[in-house]
Amino acid sequence: MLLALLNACRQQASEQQPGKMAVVISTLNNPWFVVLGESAAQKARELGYEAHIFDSQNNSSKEAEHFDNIIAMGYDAILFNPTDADGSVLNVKRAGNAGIPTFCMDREINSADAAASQLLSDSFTGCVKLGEFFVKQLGKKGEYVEILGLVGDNNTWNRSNGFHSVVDEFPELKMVAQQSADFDRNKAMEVMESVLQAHPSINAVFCGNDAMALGAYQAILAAGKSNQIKVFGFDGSDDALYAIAEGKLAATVMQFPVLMAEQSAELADRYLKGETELSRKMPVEVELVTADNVSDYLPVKK
Amino acid sequence: MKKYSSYLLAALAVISVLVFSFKTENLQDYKAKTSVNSFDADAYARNLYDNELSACVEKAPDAATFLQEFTADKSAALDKYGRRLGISSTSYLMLKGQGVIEAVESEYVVVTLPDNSKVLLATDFIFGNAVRDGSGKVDISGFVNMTNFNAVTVAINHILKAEVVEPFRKQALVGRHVAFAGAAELRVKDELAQGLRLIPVEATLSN
Repeated sequence: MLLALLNACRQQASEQQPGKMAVVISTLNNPWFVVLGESAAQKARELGYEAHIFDSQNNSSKEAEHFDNIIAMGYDAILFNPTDADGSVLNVKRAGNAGIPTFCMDREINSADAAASQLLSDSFTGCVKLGEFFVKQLGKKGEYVEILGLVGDNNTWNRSNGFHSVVDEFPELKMVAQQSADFDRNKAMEVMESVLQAHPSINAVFCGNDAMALGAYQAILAAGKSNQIKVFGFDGSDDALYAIAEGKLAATVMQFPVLMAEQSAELADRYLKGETELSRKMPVEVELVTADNVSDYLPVKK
Repeated sequence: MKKYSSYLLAALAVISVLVFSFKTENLQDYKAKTSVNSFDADAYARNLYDNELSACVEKAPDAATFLQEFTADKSAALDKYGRRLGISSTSYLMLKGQGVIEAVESEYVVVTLPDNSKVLLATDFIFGNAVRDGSGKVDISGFVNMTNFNAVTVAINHILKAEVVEPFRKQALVGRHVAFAGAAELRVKDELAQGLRLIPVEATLSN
């Protein structure tokens, strides 16, 4: 009798209060992820939920703490951009065991069924297209450098694998260095400075995101080699688009963080309203942007 | 002297701690070690090629018919014959047909179909998901991650390049007849000014 009364009170309370969505983002130190997080939170609010953003600061321990708090505070769903494809699986499972579904955005966790759904930028396919453009730009021969993102992130390797699935088929294209710069502009600049000391005659650099591409470009410009070295990025950030329009970068791959964030919030809403049979993994198409089509992307991005 | 020995020992201790606290590792080794790689993409692709693609070819629509419908109404033709993965404007589809080789270019062989429409059988740049996703036989939900799913693309393209594309490229001559099946990647905005590009899955020459 007492339990029934308590349940009735809880139900009445939950009917009066909006549901809550937590938006957990790997890092808010990168404008791309700020857009992803804020867009997800904004869409959740438009759908009638309270939404709060949690910054994991690229730290899996902090991410685990956020999940502890989110579970304790009784959130209804988590819109999640993980820090680590393997390490984050446990957090998603803990939330699932607590009855809180998780929806991954952009970055993947290595599990087919832990998350309710995963909307993932199709980084591999984007980098296949970028790789084809790269090969043609370099005339199928030359020396190049690859600057990777976070080595624990699947996106880092999906981009790298897509690129190499093309470029490695051309034996006269030689990778003379491959280093990580953690998706960070300043680190990429430092990496590029040291690479240029060892390999002054390279023809190109492929970077796993635009922030690193712009950092690499700064080092190349400072070394007076901007006419010799073509720089390729990934993300489709506004700065990179302007750099392509100005001839500083050769190409990038446009991702759609707003689309991914909004779709994730909508999927969570549908799930909470009873539509629980969602596609577990949904790649989101990306687009190659070069000097030829950059004008299509400069004014508006969604 | 004893004092200097103490400093030396302390310095050695600090250096030892620093040296053994860090471990340097080649990035490719890290990747190989940490990826979820019990999945054998080569074996998966071999099974796809040996046992499943022939059924896809059998069911594939005629290339000339598709091109007529695509010219008339692109969206309708792609909705009818194509497959899309996730949130995408790109469709993948398998087609088959026969025709006469009109030209041999560096990246493709131009084939004229009986109705004078053209397909370009790719002989270079055998990349992308056209075969994997055009086949309809590879379900993303069965994969633990995109890395493995994408490894299928790389593996099936390698098989096709070695076992279909290269033999075809070596024997393709202007005027020869070819019966072909292949996978295409298309969007509504695509204009097929030169012809429809296909990654060959089968190519049998005669004459």
